[in-house]
Amino acid sequence: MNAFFASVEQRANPALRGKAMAVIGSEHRGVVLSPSYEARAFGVKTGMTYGEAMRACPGLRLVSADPGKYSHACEELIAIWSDFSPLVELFSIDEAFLDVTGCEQFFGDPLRIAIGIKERVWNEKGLTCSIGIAPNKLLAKLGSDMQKPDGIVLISPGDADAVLENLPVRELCGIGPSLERSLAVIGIRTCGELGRAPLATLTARFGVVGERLRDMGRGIDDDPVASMEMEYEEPVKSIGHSMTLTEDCADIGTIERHVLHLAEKVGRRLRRGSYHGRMVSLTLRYADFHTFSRQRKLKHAVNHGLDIYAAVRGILRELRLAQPVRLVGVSISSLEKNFSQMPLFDDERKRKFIADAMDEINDRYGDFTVTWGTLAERCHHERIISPAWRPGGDRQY
Amino acid sequence: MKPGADFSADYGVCFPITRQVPFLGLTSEQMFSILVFMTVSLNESVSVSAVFSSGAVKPVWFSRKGKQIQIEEIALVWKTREGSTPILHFSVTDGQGLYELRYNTVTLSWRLAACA
Repeated sequence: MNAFFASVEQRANPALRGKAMAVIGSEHRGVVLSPSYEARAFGVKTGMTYGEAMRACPGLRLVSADPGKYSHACEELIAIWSDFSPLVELFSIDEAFLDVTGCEQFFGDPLRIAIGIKERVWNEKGLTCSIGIAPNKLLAKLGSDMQKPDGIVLISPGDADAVLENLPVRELCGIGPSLERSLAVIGIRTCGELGRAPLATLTARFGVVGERLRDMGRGIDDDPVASMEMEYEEPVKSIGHSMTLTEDCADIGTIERHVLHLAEKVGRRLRRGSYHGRMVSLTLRYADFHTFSRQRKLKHAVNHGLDIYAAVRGILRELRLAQPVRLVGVSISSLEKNFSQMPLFDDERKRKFIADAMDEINDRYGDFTVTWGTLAERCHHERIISPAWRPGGDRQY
Repeated sequence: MKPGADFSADYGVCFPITRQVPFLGLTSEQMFSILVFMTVSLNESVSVSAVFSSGAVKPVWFSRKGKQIQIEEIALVWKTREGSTPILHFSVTDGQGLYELRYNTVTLSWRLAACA
């Protein structure tokens, strides 16, 4: 989708249509999440602070992000896409892959399908999208990024080499700045060079990923389009939550409060999915964006927020913070499904009873309707779209 | 406006971001925090006249502070959940102002969530 958040906000507010506007993450951090194309003409870009954005475009109108709108819009788009193919893989809240193999008999060739999708998305939702048509997901994603907004790019198998030959490696989905630098160190800057690079060189530098990288440089990608139903069949490996703090924080007490909040969210998802986990992990990102994690293996598998919190707090207290913290993350892995162990002791039974009761109330009235007193200030970050979000709610286990 | 005033997430005034010096006791960083957000957050109970047809609900007018506001356009409709309760949101305009109405499908009540 093109400028998705901004486009949805422009649909919601007629006064913003055709205007330079941008959706920002929060009034505290104020990073631009999605500028309209009118704002982009002034040089406003995703990731700018709103100060930078206002300097680039003094008349810029800013809107706080409203995830509820975007999630619902995504669900409606999925319904449209699903009318064209049963295999729809949601890549992000505004991107999806469709496998239209076998659908030609109903809707025509892939180009006609793409035109049909664009027409419906525009006519029914007033939104535009860019579509890439290709033999695989890697090239389709590349194609969709090549013509924005409102484009269609067809990359047939015979065209792939020519398209990729001089294309910077960074243009491929999955190659970010760090990998780009690592490839440049060994003299690889274009996809053509990557595709011709000796496998031994790549594996020596990048391990097992080396072969995958070479395939990417050649436009090869065998990863099938996985529908959401197929995703649910995959075992969950870890469950976690993270949050960017409204301001950088060096106070351990405040960070611990955020850890408790995150641990509660993780605990709820564990219980919902009937999981217990043994390996807890704390992730911190400093103000200079240096990010690191520390783990601890527990003697017993747990799914209670307080147990997770106790373990993560233990990790935190062993650290000496070098800088204020801007992001905190809590996750748990080494999961066991349907782990059943009846609480033996009275206090364990009481804790389970309380957790079940809290879950029941929060399921009915909303997360953190009932919570611990420490979290009474409701720092539950309504404006965040969880990575676990799926149409209809968080990922079902 | 008091120096160091703490503005809520959805309320503010836009200043041209041209000066880099402290103004009214606020740093330039704080100045950058004072923006026009298109809506003012509210949570007012309102009376709404709506048409329920073909499985959809369309607000027609609502009354606020003794005044009847006729809805000229329903710009966007979306659904969220509060726990297990589906909430319908309507971004509507009377041609002058923009309003967000929220309809609780369990209690069948309407609230004015925001206006601009």
